[in-house]
Amino acid sequence: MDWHQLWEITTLPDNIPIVAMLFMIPFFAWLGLRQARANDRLIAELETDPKLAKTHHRKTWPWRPHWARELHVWPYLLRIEFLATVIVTAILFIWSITLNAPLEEPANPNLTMNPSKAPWYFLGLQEMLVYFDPWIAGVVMPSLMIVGLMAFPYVDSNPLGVGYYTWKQRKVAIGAFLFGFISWIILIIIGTFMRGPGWIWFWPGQTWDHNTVIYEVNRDLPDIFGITTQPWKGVFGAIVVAIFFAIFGYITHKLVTWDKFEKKLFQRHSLLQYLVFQFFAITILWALPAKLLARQLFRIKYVMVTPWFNI
Amino acid sequence: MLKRLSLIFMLIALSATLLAACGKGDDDEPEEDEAPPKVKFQPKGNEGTISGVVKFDGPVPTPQRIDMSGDANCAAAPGAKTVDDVTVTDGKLANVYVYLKAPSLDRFSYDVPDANVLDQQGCRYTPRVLGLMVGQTLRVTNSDPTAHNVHPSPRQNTEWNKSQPPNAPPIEAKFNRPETLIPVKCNQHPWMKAHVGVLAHPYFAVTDNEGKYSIKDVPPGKYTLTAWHEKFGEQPMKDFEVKASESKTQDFSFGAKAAYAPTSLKVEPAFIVPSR
Amino acid sequence: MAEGTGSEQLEKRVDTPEPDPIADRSFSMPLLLFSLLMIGTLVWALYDEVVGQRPWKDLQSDFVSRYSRRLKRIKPQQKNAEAEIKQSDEYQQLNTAVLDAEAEVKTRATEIQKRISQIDRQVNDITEPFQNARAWIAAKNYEMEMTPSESGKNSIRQNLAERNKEPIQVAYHDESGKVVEDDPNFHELETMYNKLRDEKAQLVTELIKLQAPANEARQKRDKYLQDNLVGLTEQQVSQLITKMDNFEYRIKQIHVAEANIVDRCESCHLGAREPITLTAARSSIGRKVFVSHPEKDLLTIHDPERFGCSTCHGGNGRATVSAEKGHGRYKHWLWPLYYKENVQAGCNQCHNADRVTPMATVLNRGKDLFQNRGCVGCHRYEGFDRDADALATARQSIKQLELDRDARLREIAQTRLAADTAPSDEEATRLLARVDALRQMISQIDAQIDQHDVQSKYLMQDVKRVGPNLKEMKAKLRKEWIPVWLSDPQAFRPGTKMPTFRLADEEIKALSAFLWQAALGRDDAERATVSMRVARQPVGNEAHGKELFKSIGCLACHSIDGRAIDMGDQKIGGDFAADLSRVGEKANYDYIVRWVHNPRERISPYSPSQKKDLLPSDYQAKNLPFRFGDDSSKSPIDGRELLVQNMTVMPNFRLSDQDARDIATFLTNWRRAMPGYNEPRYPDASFMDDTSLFARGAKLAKDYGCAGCHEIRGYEDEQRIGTELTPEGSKPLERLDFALLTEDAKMGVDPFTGKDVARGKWYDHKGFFEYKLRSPGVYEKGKERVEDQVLRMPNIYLEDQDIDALTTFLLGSVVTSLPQSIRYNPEGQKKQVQDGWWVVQKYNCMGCHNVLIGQESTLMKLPMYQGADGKEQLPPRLTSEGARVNPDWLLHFLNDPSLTTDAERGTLGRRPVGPVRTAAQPATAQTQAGTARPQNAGTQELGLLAQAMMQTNPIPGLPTQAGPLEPQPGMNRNGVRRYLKARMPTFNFSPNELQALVNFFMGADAQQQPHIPEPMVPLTADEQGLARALFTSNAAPCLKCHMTGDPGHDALATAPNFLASAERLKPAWTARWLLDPQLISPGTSMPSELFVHDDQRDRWVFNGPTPPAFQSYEGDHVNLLVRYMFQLSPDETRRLGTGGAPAAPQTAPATATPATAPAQTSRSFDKQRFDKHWRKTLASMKGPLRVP
Repeated sequence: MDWHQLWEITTLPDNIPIVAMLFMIPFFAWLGLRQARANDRLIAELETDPKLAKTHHRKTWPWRPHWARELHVWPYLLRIEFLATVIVTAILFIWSITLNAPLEEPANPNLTMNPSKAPWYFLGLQEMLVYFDPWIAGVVMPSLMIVGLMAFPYVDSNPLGVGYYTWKQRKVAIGAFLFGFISWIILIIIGTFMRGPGWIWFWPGQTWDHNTVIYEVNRDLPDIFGITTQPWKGVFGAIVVAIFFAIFGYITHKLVTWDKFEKKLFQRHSLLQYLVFQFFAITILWALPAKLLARQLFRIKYVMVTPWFNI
Repeated sequence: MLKRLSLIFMLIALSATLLAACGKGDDDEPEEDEAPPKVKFQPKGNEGTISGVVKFDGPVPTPQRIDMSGDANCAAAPGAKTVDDVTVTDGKLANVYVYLKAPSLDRFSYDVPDANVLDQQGCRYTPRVLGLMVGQTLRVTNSDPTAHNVHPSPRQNTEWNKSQPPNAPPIEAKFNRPETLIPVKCNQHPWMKAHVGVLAHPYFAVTDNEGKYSIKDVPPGKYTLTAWHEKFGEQPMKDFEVKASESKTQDFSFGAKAAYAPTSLKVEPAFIVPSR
Repeated sequence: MAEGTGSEQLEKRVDTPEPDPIADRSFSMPLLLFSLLMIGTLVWALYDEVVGQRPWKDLQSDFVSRYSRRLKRIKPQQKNAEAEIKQSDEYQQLNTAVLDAEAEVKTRATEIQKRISQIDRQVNDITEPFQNARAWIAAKNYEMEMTPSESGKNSIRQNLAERNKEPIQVAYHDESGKVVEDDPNFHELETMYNKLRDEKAQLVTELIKLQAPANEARQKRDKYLQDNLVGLTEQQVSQLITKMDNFEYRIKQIHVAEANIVDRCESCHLGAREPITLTAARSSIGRKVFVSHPEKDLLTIHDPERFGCSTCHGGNGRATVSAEKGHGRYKHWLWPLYYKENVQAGCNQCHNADRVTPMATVLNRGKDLFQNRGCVGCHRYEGFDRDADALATARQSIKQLELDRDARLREIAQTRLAADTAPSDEEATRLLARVDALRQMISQIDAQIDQHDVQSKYLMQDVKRVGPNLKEMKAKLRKEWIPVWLSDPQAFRPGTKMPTFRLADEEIKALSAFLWQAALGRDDAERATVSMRVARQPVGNEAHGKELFKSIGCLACHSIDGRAIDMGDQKIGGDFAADLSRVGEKANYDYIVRWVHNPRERISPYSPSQKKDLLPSDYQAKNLPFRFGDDSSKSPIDGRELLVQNMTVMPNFRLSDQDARDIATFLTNWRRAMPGYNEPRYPDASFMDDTSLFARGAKLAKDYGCAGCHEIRGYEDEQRIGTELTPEGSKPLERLDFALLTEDAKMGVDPFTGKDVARGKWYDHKGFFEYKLRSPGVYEKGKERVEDQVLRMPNIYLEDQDIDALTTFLLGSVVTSLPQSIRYNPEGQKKQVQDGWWVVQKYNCMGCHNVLIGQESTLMKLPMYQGADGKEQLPPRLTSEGARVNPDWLLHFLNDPSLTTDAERGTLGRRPVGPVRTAAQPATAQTQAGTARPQNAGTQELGLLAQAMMQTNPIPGLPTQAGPLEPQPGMNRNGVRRYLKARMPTFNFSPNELQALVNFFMGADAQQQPHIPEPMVPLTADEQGLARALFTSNAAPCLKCHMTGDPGHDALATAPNFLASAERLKPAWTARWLLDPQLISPGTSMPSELFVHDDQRDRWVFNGPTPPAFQSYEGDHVNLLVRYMFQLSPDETRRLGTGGAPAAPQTAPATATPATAPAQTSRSFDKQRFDKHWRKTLASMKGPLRVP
């Protein structure tokens, strides 16, 4: 194990944010869900006790009758926000004193550095290039994500769970988000820690040797099945993709209609809303990890090969 | 809960500071000084004396004759026309330079006696070997009716080569570094050779025609006593001890074949004719 | 919920109420905590800003304290020293001179001062009202000019006129100093004003004139003080102290806009440019950061204000946050500070075109090694194989030009055709004119082609190889020895430049077999040629050979075991060429004789155009004699230039056959005398005739680039196998193949020992080069390689300092980003010097001569050249050669150092080469040998080995009797300094190189070319008498040492013949030489103080009793002697009584006879001009000569 190098990577000023995220994302996820759980319990109770629900405004569990019924923004909210400000300021100070801008030598057009990595927040994208062809990974996927994020509010037909932490009332939304977000972060982490010279996969602590030689053949799915000529490659790929959509469409459907509450919500959906949701769920949330695994586990390069683009 | 929060933030802050710890190595400790200034030498009164005789065993090489016809004045001058680099009178060797060496001696500075004279007479240097102290004046006089040039070729001192016509004023020069020994030559009369030994201290002597030498007022201590001859090289004698107010005698003896001394180009100019 | 609903619970009162998680929670603790943290960070930020980011601040304060302490300590010392000097009479005199001068003009000066102050006051008084009025008038004038209407103008005119008359109130001090009221009108005021100012101007000029002498005297006085005071004056010291007292704490920055240099090095390295030398010693500044720059001269040549620091030293000149950053010793800075041992790498980025850079000894050593050790054989490096490159281009352009020529010819034909069928007569004439033009163009092209042809001939002569010519191997080497040598050259000859190739035994076998079979002597024709050219030689006299070897100058390039020449048991001599200690064990005696006699003589010429070695048959075919040389270098087959010389830099020592044999015998035999010596036995090498190995060997020879250094049949035009190293220093680090050692390098682990490296990480260029040079194979550590990919760079014998030198050179081999303006690309004479150095170093001139000021030649360091006797025998110093000699003469001399006359050449004739003796030769051979020493050849017999080799000599049918060797013009003598044992050899310089060398020497001394000698004033009869008297007087030593041509006398002589001076020397130099030879050539046998300066008549007079006639002579003695010398004729020498007949041709310089010719040629004599010239030269000489 090459701890020295691992240490060098983690302490690289460039990587501080992503390292911090390693700790902070789980922490805040836990924080939020914890609150959500509390609320959910309360909601459950209030539903059984309308009287209480009328008189009561604070969504905190366990509630005690002699507690104030209402709390004002000042001081109760602002003081927390103020504390947060102080903390953030302090952190920014420390950060800016201790870590200088990660400047490197002047760029040399005759010599691209190896590995040449994007800034940490783009490493996810860069990593995606491994799994899709540039057109898909660089243009289609990102824009789909953005559009998808924009679309979500409109596909949301859920009247509840607004303005407070809750899990019960927003399983799908929260689940989908966390799934997407975390897989994104994972991509970044892979790009940061596991991609060495030649964008070869190194496990953390494995020495990044510039002269590493590895044997690795990635084949297109059609080739595996002995389909080597166009247009059949494309056709075959298209079929596979269609099947993929069908399967995961079904799975998604099962998930979004898991229990009664979800079913209710499903009822409230218009067809358009539902389809939009399905589309993005499959193309982004499912396809990305699926392709990742296909590549890493089965060394499959592309599923669908056409003269214009590959998937 | 907020307590925990605060703790975590503290940790992040601390780790950040740790990362920032970057030291800059700047190793410039002062170097030690070169030799401290010398102190004046005070005789304690317990000084000793070294004296002795330099013998010469083996057959005395027959001196080679010099053909001075190149310069009428030299030819006219009295004295045997032979090379006198090896002067042996009944088994005693003259012109041997005997001197002491020891770090203890270099710590002091000694008074410098006045000029030592190197005379050019009959197209020869007299004396052929002489000792000087650092900073002592070497006065070269010319008592010949012909012009000479005085050309010492030292290694640790500055070299010079000056012409000295008949009855010209004496050339005066100093050597400021110890050096044993500086050959002196007259380029116009290639047979004219002398050697000047320069030391920082007065503990040296040159053997006379009886081969005797004596070094006086030697402070007690351990020395290297060295005898040097231009033809037969050096004979160093290590750990030679002089006790308080002791008068030691130490003889040397040179043989016909000497220790290796760098042989100069075999310049055998016509002025030396094998005597038969 | 057993207890019922929540509302019921509501009713329940809890006695111990739980605190409200939000309302009852206090935030003061975390608030306090983090506020404190924030404040802490604020403070930290402040500290970091003021101190943390600016470490140079405490350094500066430390420097100030240390430096002022030091200054205060030396101030009193300097004061005393100064006081002493001021005591001295000279100073007193000068001082009084100043005072007198001041006193003399005192009264008048004070008057003037007084008057001037008065004037000033008056002017002061009236200026205000005057300017006021003038301004008003100017304004009015403008207004008038601008007014359109004539009436308007008039009114203003009137207005002006009135105003001019109007009196102006002024009050000024008069001479007596009391205030005078006055009311002049404007014009009066103006005149007054101007008058005053003019007067002042006059007075000032007068004052300056008055004080001139005083100032002059003052300057003299101060100069004297400066000259005699060691270190600074007290005043200067105290200035420094004050400077320290109000020291400005800030970043000290050098900014050079043109080169985009921003260097803040001096923010910490404050002592670098201080006038006092500061060292790290406790008694001095006591800290390494503050020491002054070790080379003050360098700083004066490369003024930091113009060149900065990081340009030469590397490092990040801008960074100020830490030493590490400033020195650029971190990952992302590409030009880190050079380490101490490589500091001269910085020189090379501007001086890369210089073969020798003065003061950069390490860098120069690096370049020497690069050339001499044969690195250049495999690695291309711009400039290092200029001859080969030039040759290639020359041949290329010949091809090109020939194409052009054909094109033109075609065009002519077509144009003619067009002319014949031209529509109009005008058109026809125009076309015909065009034809003529084309014809002329062709002639021009032809001229160019010829020029290139000649050039390529010369260049072919200039191209040299580092290693010997392996075509002649069969004639030269002992067969069994070859594989032994190949397997480990160092074992046989420690320190040899032949590197050790990491070869397996079978590879060695194949290689040696190939080389042996590729060598000349494959078939009978070739064998016959070889045996004809390498004749049997009788044995020489070992003792005499040894003497020659010691004295003739071999040791300037070659080294040998000290025991061989009775000089201790160390290796002794130069490292430019091979160590000859054991040459006798490997080489054939006959061949050595031949080689020593004339190394350039080939067995057979090589034709580059035909790519074959020519044999007698090729000549017979054209029924020509089998003869080739500089004078007959054209191929009998296609008439193109041939390679007629061995490609070695070893020169021809013009030895007689006998001397050559003697030296060869010495080299072959000396070791037999050594105790415990036994003839080496080598394993049988019959496999070398196995033709099956040939192919394999050929491949190896190609792969390992043997042809880079050796001449091998079939590989004459082989390309270099190594990478080009010109830009190696700026190659990106990633491109240097650390292979598996990358991690070691980054961790600072030594690949050999596995221990940590002293300087830590070595993942940088320096580290790469050092390990590569120490053991090229190191980067193959732990790698599996198939044969073709194996690292081919062999192990080279390098001392540690050699490695430093080469590393320095490579580090300096960068593509510099500096602008042309600050780089060194000289023109004119400087350029000539730059080019000349390449030739000087190529032939190792510095082995014998002192060429670069401060450089010691190899010979100078040898024990036998110490002491006065030895020094007399040293080859001359050439530091003033350009000023000394006439370039035309120099050219002639370099071409043939024996200065053989054509007449002498004629007598030699040219023998038909071959074993057959004609009647003439033995005679000549005898005489030559006779001149060398009493003939007693053949008395000795060769060593067993040598005999063995004669038997194993592969060439059958060798003649039994001694074969003659090519006759040598100017045999056994130097042209000028015949008394020297060391001989100036004949280098066979090509005209190119001759020119380069002459230009080099002339350029080095800034001598004009072409050289037009000063008109020489003919001596009047009595001047001649005087000079002669002086020459012959007892007091004058001249003729005791200088040659006269009388053999008896010259046996003793240790200086050149005066007869040569006229056409050899330059008068100005000769005069300076006479005045103080020690200035020009320290340690020369020529004494100084031959002349003393006569201040009354401002001339130099002979120091010592002069003949009575001189009492009346007014002129300058030096001048007289020089003129006499330059007009000396042989019979005049005879009249000098030295009986110096213009001696036998082989002792008198050929040039002597018409010596006086240039002097007496009808040049009109202009006395004034002449005297002026001499007074100038002599005056200019007095200065330096006064100082002892």
